[in-house]
Amino acid sequence: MRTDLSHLPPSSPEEIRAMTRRVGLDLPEELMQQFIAAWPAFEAMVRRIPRSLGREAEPAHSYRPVRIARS
Amino acid sequence: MPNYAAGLTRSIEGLRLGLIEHWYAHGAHPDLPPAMSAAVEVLRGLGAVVEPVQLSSLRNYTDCKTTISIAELYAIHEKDLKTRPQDFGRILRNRVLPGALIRAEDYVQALRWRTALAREQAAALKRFDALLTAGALGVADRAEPSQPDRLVSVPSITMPFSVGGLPALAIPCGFSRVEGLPLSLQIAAAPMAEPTVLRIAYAYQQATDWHRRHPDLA
Repeated sequence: MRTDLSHLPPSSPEEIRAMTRRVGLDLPEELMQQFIAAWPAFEAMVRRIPRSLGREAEPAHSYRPVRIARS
Repeated sequence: MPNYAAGLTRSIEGLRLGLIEHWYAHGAHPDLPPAMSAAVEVLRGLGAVVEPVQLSSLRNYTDCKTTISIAELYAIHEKDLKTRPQDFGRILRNRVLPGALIRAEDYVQALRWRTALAREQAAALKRFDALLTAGALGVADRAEPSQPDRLVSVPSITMPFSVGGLPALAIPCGFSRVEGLPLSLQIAAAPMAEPTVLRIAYAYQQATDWHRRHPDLA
């Protein structure tokens, strides 16, 4: 059974532009071209993250109320 | 705060060290594996017991850590990246901007993966007093701002111990033959076990002089 998203096709440059617009990034064209070149390696990385971890794998970060109360 | 210097000169005889060789066995600088083997022999000569240990792949650790860190970096720098992205250096900008496209579910899955990977390291540190691996897979890059960002294509071997929150340090353990640049050994131990890390590094540096040599920069 597949446990990650690495089977998905890479985003096209047009899709990358659309995604950046959606998050409010309005990059000059030169920087956008650099981002379009850089993103595929990161996209592949994110898609390799396993999606089938058990419930015991809770996030490692934690909110520590005592520390906040004492600050 | 413990007095880290107090135990620095204690012998490392009998310490059990887990060698994570598979992180640098393939794809590293060709001079690195022999330099690491020589470093291991030095530590064995000082009385440490060095045995191989297998953890998840270096790629797994770097995928997990990078996903978390770029999402957090982007959150911290979002305002500036949106209003004046040109003021960031190219390499830093192109490492942090992808954090804008990390979805909440990706970030949370990476945090959950981190827990699993950290448990794996903790289990290894029940068998060993410290872990050893390389401190870098290659030698230092030339200081050329236009060169490609190698971090994206080559996994960083210093990232895994950040995933587990382990104290770690890297010290020189040789020089590459062609470039004449330092190669390094990395030592990590359980959380709060900084004295153990420092003690092993100190013992190694008393037995070697790699840290006193300098590359020829002419």
